[in-house]
Amino acid sequence: MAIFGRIEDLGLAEVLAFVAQRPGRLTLRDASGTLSLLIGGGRVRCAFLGLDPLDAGSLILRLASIRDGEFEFAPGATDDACPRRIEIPVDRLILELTKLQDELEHHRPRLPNPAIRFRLVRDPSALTSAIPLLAQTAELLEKGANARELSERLGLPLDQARYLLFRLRLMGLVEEIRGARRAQGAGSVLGRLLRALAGGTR
Amino acid sequence: MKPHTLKIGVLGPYGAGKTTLVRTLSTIPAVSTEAPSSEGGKATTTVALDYGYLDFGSVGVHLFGTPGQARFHDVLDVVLQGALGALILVRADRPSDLPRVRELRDYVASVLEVPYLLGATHLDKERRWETAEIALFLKEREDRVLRLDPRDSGQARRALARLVELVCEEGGVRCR
Repeated sequence: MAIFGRIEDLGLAEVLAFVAQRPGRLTLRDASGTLSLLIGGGRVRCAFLGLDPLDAGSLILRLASIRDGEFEFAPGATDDACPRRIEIPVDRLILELTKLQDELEHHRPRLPNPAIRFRLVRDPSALTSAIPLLAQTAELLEKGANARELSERLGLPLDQARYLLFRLRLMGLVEEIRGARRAQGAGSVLGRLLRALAGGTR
Repeated sequence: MKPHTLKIGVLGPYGAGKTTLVRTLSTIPAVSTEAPSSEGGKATTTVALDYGYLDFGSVGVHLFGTPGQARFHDVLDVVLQGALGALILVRADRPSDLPRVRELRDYVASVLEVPYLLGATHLDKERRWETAEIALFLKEREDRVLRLDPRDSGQARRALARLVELVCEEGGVRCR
């Protein structure tokens, strides 16, 4: 018999701590999809978003965005079902998750607008092990990207993408792209004014 | 009345089966203080206490049921004053109640400091937690979580017998 419930009733950290006592598959369903964690020996052996395997960084970011939804835990051996092992101890995962959620809530009023575009201004390679998904993010930010685009391309919840850009800006790795609209052909101030007077779009 | 009497508290979240259990066990007409319920699942709810009494072997047992809603928590201090043991009911089909059950268990163990048992109800539901899983979540000994259908007098009496045994052994109460 599976163990089930609402994530918001028990809290995700408590659900993780509880199910980690036995091997099995934990399935978390929220509005944005289905996340599966295969657990054994007090560690998350591997994880999937839908059918796609996740790395440890993506898993932590994805978990941190879950506020409500359903969980189900089916006890049983999980060793054979892991194509890409991540092997994070569940207690460490809970600590990382709690830390990330606290940070996100603390900084939420200062997170950048999802439409503001940023570009990379420094080589981030020294920090790739410290910041989850930095390598993939850096690739996109070389050409310039906003939080919405990062969210779509990396499969990240939008708030996590905003928080990632916030951290990268704090560390001086990215800067916002100014005048992006003009560069994309919006024209001069006079031109925009004339078009507006003529009843056209801005 | 028997020469030795025990006061036993019956606790649990809303709709766990406390009033039914007191009525099932009591050999006198049980006293209930019910009012129309504003929550789903049942027509009435206990707002102060349920009371029942039964002769149980060499002891008389006074049963005091408490209201289930967390907002009535202050009532527990009054209703459970002098209780020597507690039966805490938990719905196996409603895991959202588990944090509240844990709070009640902790209250009984730390504030009342009396022996207790947990009774898992609604085990006839298709989607439910097993007693071992409830015990694991609550970090409780498995033998402290019993299967308990409050409508079934046999199960109810067995649960009470186990609790009375604990009260007499662990609670240092003279039962004979």
